[in-house]
Amino acid sequence: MLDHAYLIPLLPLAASVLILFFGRWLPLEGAFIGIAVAAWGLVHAGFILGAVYLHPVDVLVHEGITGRYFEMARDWFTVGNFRMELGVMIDGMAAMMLVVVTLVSFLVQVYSLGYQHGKPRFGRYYAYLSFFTAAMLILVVSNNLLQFFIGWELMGVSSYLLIGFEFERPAAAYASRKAFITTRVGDLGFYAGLLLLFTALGTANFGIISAEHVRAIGPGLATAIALLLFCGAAGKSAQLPLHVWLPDAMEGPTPVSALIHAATMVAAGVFLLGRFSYIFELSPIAQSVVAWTGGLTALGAALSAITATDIKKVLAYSTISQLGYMVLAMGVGDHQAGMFHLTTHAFFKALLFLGAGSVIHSVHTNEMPLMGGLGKKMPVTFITMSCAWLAIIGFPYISSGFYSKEAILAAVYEKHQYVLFAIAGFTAFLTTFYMTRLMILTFIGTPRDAHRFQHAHESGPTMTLPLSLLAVLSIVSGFLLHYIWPFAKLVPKAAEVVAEASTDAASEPGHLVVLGVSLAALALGLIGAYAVYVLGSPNPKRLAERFPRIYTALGTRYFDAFYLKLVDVLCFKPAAFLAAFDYEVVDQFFVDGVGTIGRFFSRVKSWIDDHIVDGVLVNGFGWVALKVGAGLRSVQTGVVQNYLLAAALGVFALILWAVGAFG
Amino acid sequence: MLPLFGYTLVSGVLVSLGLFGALARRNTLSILIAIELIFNAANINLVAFNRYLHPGQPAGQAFAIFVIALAAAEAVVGLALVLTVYRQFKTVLSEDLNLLKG
Repeated sequence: MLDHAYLIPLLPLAASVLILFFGRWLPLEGAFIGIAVAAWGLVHAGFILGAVYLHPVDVLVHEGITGRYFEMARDWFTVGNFRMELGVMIDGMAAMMLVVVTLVSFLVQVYSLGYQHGKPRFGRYYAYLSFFTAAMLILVVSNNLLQFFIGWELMGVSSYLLIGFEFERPAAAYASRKAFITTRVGDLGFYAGLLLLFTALGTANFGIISAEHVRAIGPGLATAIALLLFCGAAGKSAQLPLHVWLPDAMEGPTPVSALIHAATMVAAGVFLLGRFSYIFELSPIAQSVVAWTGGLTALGAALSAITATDIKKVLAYSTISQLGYMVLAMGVGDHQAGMFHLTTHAFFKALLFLGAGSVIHSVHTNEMPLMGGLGKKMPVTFITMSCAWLAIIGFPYISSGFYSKEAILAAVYEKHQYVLFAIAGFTAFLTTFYMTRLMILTFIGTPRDAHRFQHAHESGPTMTLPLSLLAVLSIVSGFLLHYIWPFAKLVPKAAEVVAEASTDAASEPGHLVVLGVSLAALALGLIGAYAVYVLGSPNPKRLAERFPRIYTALGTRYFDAFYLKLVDVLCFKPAAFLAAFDYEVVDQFFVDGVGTIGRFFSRVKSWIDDHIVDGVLVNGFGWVALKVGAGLRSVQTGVVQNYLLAAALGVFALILWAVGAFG
Repeated sequence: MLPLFGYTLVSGVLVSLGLFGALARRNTLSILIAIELIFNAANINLVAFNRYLHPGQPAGQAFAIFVIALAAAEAVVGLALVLTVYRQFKTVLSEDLNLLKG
């Protein structure tokens, strides 16, 4: 199984090429190829995960500081003494990600059969989806820095293609450019970090880096590398201050949003932090930067989500917020909790987006103020989305999100980061509040747009089946991964964290505090949302009118404004200045000056040409020829005897000359 | 026997008459006749010089025969031209045939 793990990324790649070039002649424009390959990848990944669980020592033959792993590689190219490999490296983290990515990709593709039905460029859509999946899988199984980076960048390209898939709309084209450029800013740092790491250690292989060499890095260098790597993660996983692209990425088709937010793209940043967790552990400074970035991102995005009315925008902000949680977990050194939350979040966020897609597909709008009461019309969507809602608000014990969020909160608490813990707890309250608001505004209450409500209908089986499967996973995955197949077995905690936790005698009461805080947040959020959006006291409209400043502040996208200002100051203003300079000085003075001088000289030359060359020379010759010709014409009488006379006179003269009459 | 000068004198007179005729006559037929005179002056010269300078050799006389034959051919072409010109212009007067006047 593991020997052929390379097939998992390669087959979707091949599928995307096949669909792109031959899809038009195939039934469903080749979509079935992408689905079949994703299904096969899911089965394959499932077997790998099973093998990793059941026989970890047999299949994961190497021992690294982040746990056991399996590796297989082929040489790609050799430069001097350095060999670059293309390979597969699978540890517990990668095995879990393989399952998550292939599962979400498979479900999204099945779902898209219904959602994208009859839309233009259907085949190409599937080619892009397969390509996106392949890029993420290349990254997940990568065993070296360069291959990781290749997958990373391929994902950037495919996110660009998919976000801008409906490029006829300028907003979509703009959003795709924004996503591409914003992540590129982070990638610059990421690439620098990779190069620095490579230069410092002389190897690109993850196994070798983690096994021995990493201890050779000094704390200063480790901080630099960690922060640069984090730049990349912040770009891809939409962390402050590079989160601005994600809300706009909603311009892509909704299933694509599900894919981006659950399995690919944003997961890559967190996966990167998990992959390089041992480097971050070398640098407490970098760790606290990561932790604070994650915490503030979680809080800021949750605040933004409260006033958003676009259902996808709310979900986008919630993704940023949840990613903030994961990054926070990475920052406090517990990449196990981060990866755990990444896994459960993948299920319920994919479900939320696919459910939102189902709603949008039915009522043809993204705006929640135009929905309401849809629970009666779309029971499957409502019930499945409720499962995701339970998961994201972390409903105790029966939802997956509870276990993973709890793990993160506990990790923060155990690190004695009480301010961050407070932020995370408050964010949990906000999360409950805005997600409950979303559910109420969409599914409960009276329909606010009667026409749309009348035409609303439950989506077809290609859409509801993926929803149902994800709903089951959203509920049980946390329980399964906590008790039955413990996630801790897949992704062992770093040695230091384990040591610290075991010495921490306050661990049990600590957990009680964590549990208490999260339950309180949940209860407050539920009560608040119920009061505001069901009972209407305080009335949300009146609240907005009473605190207009807070209301607008929540809806304002400060970073976008800041970047626009930055671009304005750094690019547009200098460009305007240079344009003015170009016009006033270069054009008006130099170019026009040279032109004026040139015109003066050409006037002089024109006069000379007209009067001297033409007038005197050309016309002069003509005039001479004319006059001479006119003179000579008279000789040509046309009377043959005149010519004869001339000939005779000539002969006579010749004779005289011959006899010497001329002396 | 007459001296060579006598023959050359006769031939000179004939050339002069022929040239005068060719230059002065208006009728193209007359011009053709005048040209015949010039031919014959040349023939007289050829025969005379042959007789006086290389007696017993036939070259000069043979030349004279050639010239007579050529003159006949010339007369044919010339008369044909005159005839054609007359048909075209209804005139044979040389001063009227001045199409090539510049």
